[in-house]
Amino acid sequence: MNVTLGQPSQPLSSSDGGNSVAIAVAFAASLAALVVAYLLLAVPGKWFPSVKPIHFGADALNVVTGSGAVRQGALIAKPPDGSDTVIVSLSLALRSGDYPVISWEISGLPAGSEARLLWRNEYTPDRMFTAPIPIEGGEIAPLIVVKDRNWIGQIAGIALAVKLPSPTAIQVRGVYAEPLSAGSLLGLRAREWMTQERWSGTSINTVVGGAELSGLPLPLLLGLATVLATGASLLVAAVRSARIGPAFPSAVAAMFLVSWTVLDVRWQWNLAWQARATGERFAGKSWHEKHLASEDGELFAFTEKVRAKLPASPVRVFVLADADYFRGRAAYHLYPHNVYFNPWVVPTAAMKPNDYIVVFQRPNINYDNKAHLLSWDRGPPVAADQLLAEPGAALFRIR
Amino acid sequence: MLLLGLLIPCLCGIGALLLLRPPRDSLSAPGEVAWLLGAGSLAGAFLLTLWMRLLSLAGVRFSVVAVGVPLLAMAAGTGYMAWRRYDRALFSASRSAARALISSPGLVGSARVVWWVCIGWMVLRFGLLALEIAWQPLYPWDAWIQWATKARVWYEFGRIVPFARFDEWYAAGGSVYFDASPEYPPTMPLMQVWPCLLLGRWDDALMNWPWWQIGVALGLLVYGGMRRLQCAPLEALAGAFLTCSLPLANVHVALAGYADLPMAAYYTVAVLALLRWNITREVRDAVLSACFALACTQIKNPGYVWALTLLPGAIVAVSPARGLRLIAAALGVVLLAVVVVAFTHARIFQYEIHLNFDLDWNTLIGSYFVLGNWHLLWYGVLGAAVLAGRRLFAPHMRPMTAIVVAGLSFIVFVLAFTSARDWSSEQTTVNRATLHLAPLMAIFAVMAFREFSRRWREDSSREIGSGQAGVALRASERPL
Repeated sequence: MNVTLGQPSQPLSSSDGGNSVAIAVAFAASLAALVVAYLLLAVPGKWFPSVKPIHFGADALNVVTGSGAVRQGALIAKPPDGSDTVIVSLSLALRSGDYPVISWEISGLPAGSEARLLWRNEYTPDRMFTAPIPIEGGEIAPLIVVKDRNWIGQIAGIALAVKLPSPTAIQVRGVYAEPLSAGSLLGLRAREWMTQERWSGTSINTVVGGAELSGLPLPLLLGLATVLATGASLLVAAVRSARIGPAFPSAVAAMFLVSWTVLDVRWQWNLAWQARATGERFAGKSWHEKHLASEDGELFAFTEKVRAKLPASPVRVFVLADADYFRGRAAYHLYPHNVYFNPWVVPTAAMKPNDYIVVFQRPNINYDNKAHLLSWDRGPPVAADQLLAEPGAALFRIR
Repeated sequence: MLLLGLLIPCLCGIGALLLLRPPRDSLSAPGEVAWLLGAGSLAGAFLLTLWMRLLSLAGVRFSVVAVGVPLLAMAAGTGYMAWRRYDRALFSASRSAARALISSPGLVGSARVVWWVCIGWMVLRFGLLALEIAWQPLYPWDAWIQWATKARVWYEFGRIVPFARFDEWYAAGGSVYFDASPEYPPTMPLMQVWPCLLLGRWDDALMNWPWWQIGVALGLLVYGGMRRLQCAPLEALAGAFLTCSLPLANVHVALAGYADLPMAAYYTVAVLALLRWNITREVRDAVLSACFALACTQIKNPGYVWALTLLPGAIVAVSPARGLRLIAAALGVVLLAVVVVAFTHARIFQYEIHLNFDLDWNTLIGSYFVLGNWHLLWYGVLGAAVLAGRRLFAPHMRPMTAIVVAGLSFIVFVLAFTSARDWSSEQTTVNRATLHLAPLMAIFAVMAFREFSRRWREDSSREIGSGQAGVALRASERPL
C-alpha cells in the first residue's frame, strides 16, 4: 500500500518499495518478538506439552444444588426453589500441573450472572477451594487456574457454581480440562480480543476493547509493535548507515493506520453485534414499550401506576429507595413532577401536606394502616394516606 | 417531520457561516463545503438553543412554530443572501464537493482505494450508530440524572424552569426543580427538547439525534478544517477517520445524553477556526473561533477552561516571537494562583482543589495505552510529536502546539490536583475528560507527522540532489 501523508507530489525513489517491505518486515518482527516475550513470561511450563485436552460431556456432570436433566447432549440445570444458585459437579482425577485451564461449555447465562470454579485437591481433601470465573458477553471464559496456589497435586473433583439474577435454567454441554501450551494461551488471548463487549453502566466511561482483564490487550500489543518497528528501523539505519528513501514516513504512516484499522475492525464488529442486540430488544417498540423492555422495566411499570394516581399538574414527590440507581431512575420516570431524590437526606421536616412519597425497594419503612402514620429509619412518623401498594413498592400522600 | 425539523438548525448555521466568510474566498477551495456543513451544523445547533433561551426569557411557550418558523425564516434569509452573493458558485461548489467525495481528489492507485474504503467504513459506522440512536432509550447514568431531567421538565412546561440544590429547592416550595447538577448550562437539554417538539411527544430515544448529527458534523469539520489548513486530502481524511473511529467518541453517540462529545466538537471547531485565522488573519475567522469558544462555555462548565486554552494559541499567533515568553510568564502567574487557591481548599464548580499532586498513573496509562478507549491515538500523538521534534515550534505549528500543551496541562491538572482524581481511579472521569481534547489530538498527531514527513522529504531531496540515490541516515544528521 502506498499511502502518502505529506506532500503527495514528491516523486518516489527506487528504494520506496524497499521501505515499505522493510517496515512491514520490521513490524512483523516486532510483533513476533513481543508475542515471544509474552509467552516467556506467561507460560509456566513447556510451550508444547505432550498431554492432550480432556473433554467431559454433559452425561458426566451431576447437579449438586438444584435440579437438572440431560437433553440433546446438554445438562439443563436450574436452581432449587427459593434460591438463585445452581452447582454442577464432576468427579475426576487430574494432575493439576498438566491441566491448568478449565473451560466450561455453557450457554443461556443472563446478564448479571456470577460464576465460580470449585475444586478439591489431594492434600486437603476436606476443603473446597474456589476461584471466580470471568463472564464476558454472556459466556463463561476459560479459567487459567494454575496461578491459584491451591491448584496443586491431584485434583479430586471440580464443580461450577453459578449465581443467577433470577432462577432460570442454564445449559451445560460439558467441560474441558486443558494443558497450557503456547498455542492454547495465544488462543485464549485471541478469544479475549474477540469477546463481545455489550453496553453496560460503565460503557460511557470506558471501552475495554474485548475481555476485561485481558492478559495481553490488543491495543498494547499493536501499539508497542508499531513503536518498536519504527524505532528499530531508525536505529538500524542509523547504526549501519543504511539507506532509507523519502517514502519512509509514508511506510510508517501506513503501518500505523493498518494497526489502527485492525483495532477498528474489531470495534466495528462489536458495534454491529451490539446494534443487533439493541434491535432485538427495542426495535419496533414505542417509547413506552422500550422502557418496559429496559432493565428497569419493573420500576418503570410501577412509576406509570404512580403517575396515574398523581394529579395531572406537577406536585412535589419524594423518592425513597435504597439503591442510588432506583432512586434516580424513579425520579427520572416521574418528571415533570417536582421530584426530590437526594441520596443522603430524607427531609421529614421538608414534607408538607399534599406532597407525595414514592417508596421502591427500601427496607425499614413502616406504615400504620389504621393510624395512617408513615415512618422510616425509626424517625418521627408522618401522617399519610397510602394510595398504592405493591410488593416492595408504595405511594403515599402526606396529610 | 423529525428529520426535516432537525435539518432546520443546520441550514441556519450553514447560512450564517456562508454570510460570515469573506465573499472573495472561493467556495470551491479545498475543504470549504465540508467545513461549512460541519461547522455550520454546530453553529446552527447552538443558535437553536440561544433562540429557545430567548423565547423562554420572553415568556413565549416552546412549540414547533415558535422555535422552528423563525429559524426556518433565518435559514431562508441567509440562504437567499448567500445565493445573491455566490450565485451559481453555491451549486457548482456543492457539486464539485460531491464529485470529490466519489472521485477522490487528486488521488490515484492504492491511495484512491484507501480513500473509498475509509469513506465507506465511516458511512457504515454512522449507520450502526444511527440504529442505536433510533432504538436505545436514554441509557447512561448522568444522562438521566442531570441532563435529560431538565429536557423533560422544559419540554412539558414549554419553557426553561430553574433547577436548584436542595436548600433552594426546599425554600422555593415547588417553583424550582431538583436534579443532580442544577448548575449545568441549558444547551444540551434544549437540543433534546427540539426533537420532542417535532415529534409532539416526549421520546427519550429519538430526542438524541443531535448527538448523531454532532458526530457526523465533527467528522466533516475535521476534514474541512484540515484542508483549510493546507493539509493534503489524505491527511485530512486521516484526521477525520481517526476522529470518527475513536471508540469512546462512538460510545457517546450510541449511548447519547452526555455533554462530553458536544464539548469535544465545539472545542475542536473553535481551535480549527483559530488556526485558520492564523493563516488568513481575517477578523471573521477570529470572530468565528470566539463564538465557538463561547459555545464551549455553554455546553458544560469545564468549557470555560477549554475556551481559555485557546488563549496561548492566539497569543503565539499574534506575537510569534514574544508569544512563548508571554505564555511562560502567564503560566508562572497561573501556577502561583493555583498555589494560593489550593491552600484555601477552594472549590471551582464542583471540584475541590488541593495542593497535593496525586496522579493515578496506572489508571492513566491503562486508559490511554492499554484499553480500547482510543485505539492507538496516544501512541500516535507521542510518536508523531517525537518524530516532528523542533518542527512543532515552527511558526505555522506554534499555535496548535501551544493549545495542545495547554489542553493537556488542564487534563493533568484536573486529574492530579482536584477531587476528580478520586473518580479517575475508577475510570469514570479520566476518559470523559480526555474526550474533550481527543479529536484535537488526532488532528495534532496527523499535523505533527506531516511536519516529520516534510522534514524527511526535504532532507531526502537535498541528498538526492547532491547525487545520492537514497538517504544515508546517521543519527547526527536526523535528530529525533
